[in-house]
Amino acid sequence: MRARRQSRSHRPLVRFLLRRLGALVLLLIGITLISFLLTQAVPGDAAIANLGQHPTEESIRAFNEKYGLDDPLPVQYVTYLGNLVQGDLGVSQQTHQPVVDDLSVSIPATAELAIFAIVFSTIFGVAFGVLAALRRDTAVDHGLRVFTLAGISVPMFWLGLLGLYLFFFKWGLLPGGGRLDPTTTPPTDVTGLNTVDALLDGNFATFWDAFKHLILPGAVLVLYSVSLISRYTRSAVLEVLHADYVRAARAKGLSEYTVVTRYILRAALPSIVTVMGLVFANVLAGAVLVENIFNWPGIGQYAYRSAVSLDLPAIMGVSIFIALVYVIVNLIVDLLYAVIDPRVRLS
Amino acid sequence: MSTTEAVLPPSRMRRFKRGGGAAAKPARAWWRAPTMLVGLTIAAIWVIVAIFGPLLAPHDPLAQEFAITQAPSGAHPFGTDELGRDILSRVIVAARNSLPLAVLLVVCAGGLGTALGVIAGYVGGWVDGVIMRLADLFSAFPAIVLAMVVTASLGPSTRNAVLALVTVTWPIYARVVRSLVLSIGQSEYVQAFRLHGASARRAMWKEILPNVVGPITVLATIYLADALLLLAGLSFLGLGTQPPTPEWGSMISVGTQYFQNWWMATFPGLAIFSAALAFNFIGDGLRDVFDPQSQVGSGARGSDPAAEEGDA
Amino acid sequence: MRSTTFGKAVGAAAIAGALAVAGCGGGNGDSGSNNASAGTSTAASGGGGAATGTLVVDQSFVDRGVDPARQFTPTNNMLVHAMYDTLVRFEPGRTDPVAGLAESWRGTDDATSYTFTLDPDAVFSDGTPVTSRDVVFSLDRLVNIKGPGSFLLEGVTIRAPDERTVVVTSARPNPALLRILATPPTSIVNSRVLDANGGSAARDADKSDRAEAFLQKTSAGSGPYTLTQGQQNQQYTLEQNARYWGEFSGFPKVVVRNMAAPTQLLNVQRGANEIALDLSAQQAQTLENNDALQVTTDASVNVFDVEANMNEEISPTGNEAVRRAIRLALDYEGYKRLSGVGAVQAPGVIPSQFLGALTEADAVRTDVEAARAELERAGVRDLKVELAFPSDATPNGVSFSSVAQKVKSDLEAIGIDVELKGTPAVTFLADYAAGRNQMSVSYWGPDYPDPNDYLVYAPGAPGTSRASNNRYTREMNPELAALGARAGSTLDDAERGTLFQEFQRGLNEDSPFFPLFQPAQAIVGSSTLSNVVLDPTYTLNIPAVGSN
Repeated sequence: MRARRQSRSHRPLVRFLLRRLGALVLLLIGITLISFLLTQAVPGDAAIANLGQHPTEESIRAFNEKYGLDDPLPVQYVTYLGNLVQGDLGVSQQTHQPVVDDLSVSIPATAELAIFAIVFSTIFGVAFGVLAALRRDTAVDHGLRVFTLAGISVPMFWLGLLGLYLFFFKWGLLPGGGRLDPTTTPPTDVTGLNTVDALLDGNFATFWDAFKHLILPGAVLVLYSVSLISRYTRSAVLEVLHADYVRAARAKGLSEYTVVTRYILRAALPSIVTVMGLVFANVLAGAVLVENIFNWPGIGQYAYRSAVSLDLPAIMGVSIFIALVYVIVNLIVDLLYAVIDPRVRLS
Repeated sequence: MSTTEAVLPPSRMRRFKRGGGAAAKPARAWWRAPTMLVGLTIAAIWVIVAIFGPLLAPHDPLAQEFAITQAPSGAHPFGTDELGRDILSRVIVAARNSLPLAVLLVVCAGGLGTALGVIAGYVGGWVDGVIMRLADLFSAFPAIVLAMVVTASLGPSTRNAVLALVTVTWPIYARVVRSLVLSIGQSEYVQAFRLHGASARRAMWKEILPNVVGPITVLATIYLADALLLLAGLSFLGLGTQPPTPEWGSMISVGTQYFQNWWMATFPGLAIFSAALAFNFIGDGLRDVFDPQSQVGSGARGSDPAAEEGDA
Repeated sequence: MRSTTFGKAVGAAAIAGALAVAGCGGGNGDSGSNNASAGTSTAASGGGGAATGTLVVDQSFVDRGVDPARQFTPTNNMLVHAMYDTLVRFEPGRTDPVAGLAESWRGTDDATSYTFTLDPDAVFSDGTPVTSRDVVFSLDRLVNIKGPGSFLLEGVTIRAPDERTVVVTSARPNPALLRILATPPTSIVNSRVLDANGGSAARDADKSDRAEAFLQKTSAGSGPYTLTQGQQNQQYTLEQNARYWGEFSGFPKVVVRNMAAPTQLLNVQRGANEIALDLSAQQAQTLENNDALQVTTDASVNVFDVEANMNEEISPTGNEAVRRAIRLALDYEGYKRLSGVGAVQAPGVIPSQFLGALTEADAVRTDVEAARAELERAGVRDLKVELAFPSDATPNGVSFSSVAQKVKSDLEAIGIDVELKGTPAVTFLADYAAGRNQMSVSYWGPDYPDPNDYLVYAPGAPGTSRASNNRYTREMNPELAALGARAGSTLDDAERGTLFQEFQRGLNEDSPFFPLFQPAQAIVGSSTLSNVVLDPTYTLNIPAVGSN
């Protein structure tokens, strides 16, 4: 398949993209349908839950009318899809804001955390993986193996709490949640990523503050992802370590550094790219727990709040967003894969 | 939250697809034994604790009979909780709840995933398409988010938590099994039999079963750790096992309310961590003993366009 | 981390003594306040010199936005009160109305009509004067938007005979009306600004009003603060209203942020001008020796209770003897301990701080033997009930789950088998409102600081009420229903108080309600701050917080 994609012109690529797009549409319909049916299966009553201690008949009627909850289910669903096509995700029942607006606030927050986690876990993960492979079966390898197994065994929410207790409560080294200190003026909103925006403003104090807030929640996510990446990298590197071209490179007397970066890492890259898709999905999933602990106003916290209050438009909005990310990341991974797989090129 | 996907299947699947490459099969090293041994020991301890919990627990885990929120002491090595219950006893008895549940989850998801994977790989065609699209659908949700919606809708309970997690985890098994079945189907051995018509089916089964059981066992062991973490995560969010049944995740959740009493969250957390670590150690060791790749053998070679489709 | 979506709660009060409706002839009650912690002054204007810097308030949010007419949660009430004025208002920690936008008012003797005269100095933050037109617009809008606070003005009409006069008329005598007009949903908004931004007060305002998004970004009030930034469920930044018409003694900038209680505990120790609103008594206790902080722990005005369904086909608690047994079996002392120092047993459904509250002498005493005997005499055995509770809510740091587990343990001691059924608040409330729960753990936070708010417990109380939640019909106790109605429309406060006490004794005799406790509620702030006082209506009176 991949070989074919390479050998022919661009047409297969276009077809491949179209097919993925078709699958995406199907996926979105499936996801909205599932969220929709699930939230309808609920004995919950959104009006009662949102109208306080004194819901009057009039206010209940007005609420149901406003959110179209009186319409028959198929009508509600079709209406939703119709709005979705126009980019309208509806209005959240608990924030009273358009879901699109809510998402546009929480997505950058999660993105900042996710980027932090992915950048650092890639750096450390690849380094650990290469090291473990090169020092295979030595104490270093064994140590890293135990470390990575521990990394995927520790409950994230517990680690987050422990981190808060020690680094914030006991030692006061790091801030205790949120994205910025309340006395810090948020940077000019360009990307929505506070660290980047602060740098664009040229304000290093704000950057440092934003960065400090990232460290603890980021570290919890990093620990988990580092483990994944390092285990993948290790096995990928082991696979190519004794390949002919690596031996040839060594025989040519190239330095170990050159061999590792030019040949080994390059060959292991496809595997590393593959795991990135997975890491991304894991970071998003982990964000639900981590954001709740660190009061990080991102998608995860939004998803949790929406789920427990059965805020249908919000649940659907979050699900659609996450599915989109999932599909797009997988697409990118597959495209990258085709581009950088040296074996494909060699053949 | 899927460790397993990373630890085992995708790498295998990529290898199938890529075909070739001097797949260096790691040798069984001396040091693996210690981690395996440690894993087995901890797991054995937890199994014993789970079986004999009520006998081992110094107090009734439900009895609200002591002063509330006491720090660890000789009388209560892990302290007491907000209702004056002995935390050590609760951690011990919770094993009875958490461990069988994790096993149940793995068995259900593994069973469902294997069945659907075999069907998809064996029958092929539109059936395969539908099953794999469904698999895509359920893996496009992060497990914990879909599980949250399911339990929020159906009401939080142990049963619904397991149900929700089965819904989101079966695709992992289905994908692996399907691609194993496909690769077996293409092996020369089966191809040869296929020429003889009817007997091909029997050959398939003969080939499939032994080849699927191995990888699935390994997968299930590693996944046990994951299952434990997922269940604890749901309980932590208040969507899993309901009180007063002691459960590690919900104990941590209560501990967050009493943040200053570090013992309330620390000990249940250590329990989850040690149990998950044990399963991961064992799974890691098993992986080498039971390496699915070596079993599938040459059947896995060659690029596999059908397997690709399921990977959308 | 759990944002509670359960009902509405207002902060704990630390007011003692009877309450009075000013302007309607009632005598002002004693205000022996025990809230002056760490020597802070209690008067609104007693905030000391001009505060500088930023005041940071940490709260665990229940955030429905800051459109006054659409919100009714403690978080939003607190914020709205800082940005908007009401006709009358309360001083920090108090419940007797004083002049707000209205400089004076006059009530008719039958408590059906109030005439307000607006303060001529009052201006909105854009400099335009506050007129009776704005008042009519704002109150009509509250009613017609049909939101969570619309019930406050049910059966009320508002007229403006001239620019500075407003007449508020109630269809039935309502001695609580004046206090209602001090609650944040009745805030006065700038009608011209709202008109220009999609606002509507028309009868169909629930559909035609489009001002909510606007009000989430910009405030349109006459209060001491204006909204600089509103990030829902995260944080709100308020700044001093440069054109504020009254005396300003607060901080020039205030940040109110959403924080889980554990994090609040840590923040308040590290910040300079910080207030934490959701610490449990136990958490607050750990700070008592910290000189940089002032800690006040008191009973909250919220009341936790256990409720039982009266319908025998739904629940065995339809049996009178079972209810009597349950009332005797509950370990009231234990619930207090669960909440921590400062919690008190709730002798009735009305909290101790309010007019008409029962005294400790009326409180039910635990008597497990008598409870068992009660069941035996009635010949009921093998009882099994399901106890529902919202699993994701922890008001005042007490999780419903913990309370429910204790109830289970208490009732099992007398042989009643209890199955716990915890569900997210949204699901719990649906069953509860439909009267489907056998037993529930619930709680009530006052909507306004007046005993009339507790008539929802009266047999046959209309609409979705605590009575209807438990199928408690008028026929089950017509005398008590009549007593409640009489108490609710009595004008003289002394008499009203007595009637409400009698009403609650009746409830304690034989009703589906088992009041458990008023949880401890702590407020912790930097010791340099003044007026760090929990307020029964606004949770925290932000404009009153200054620096010493």
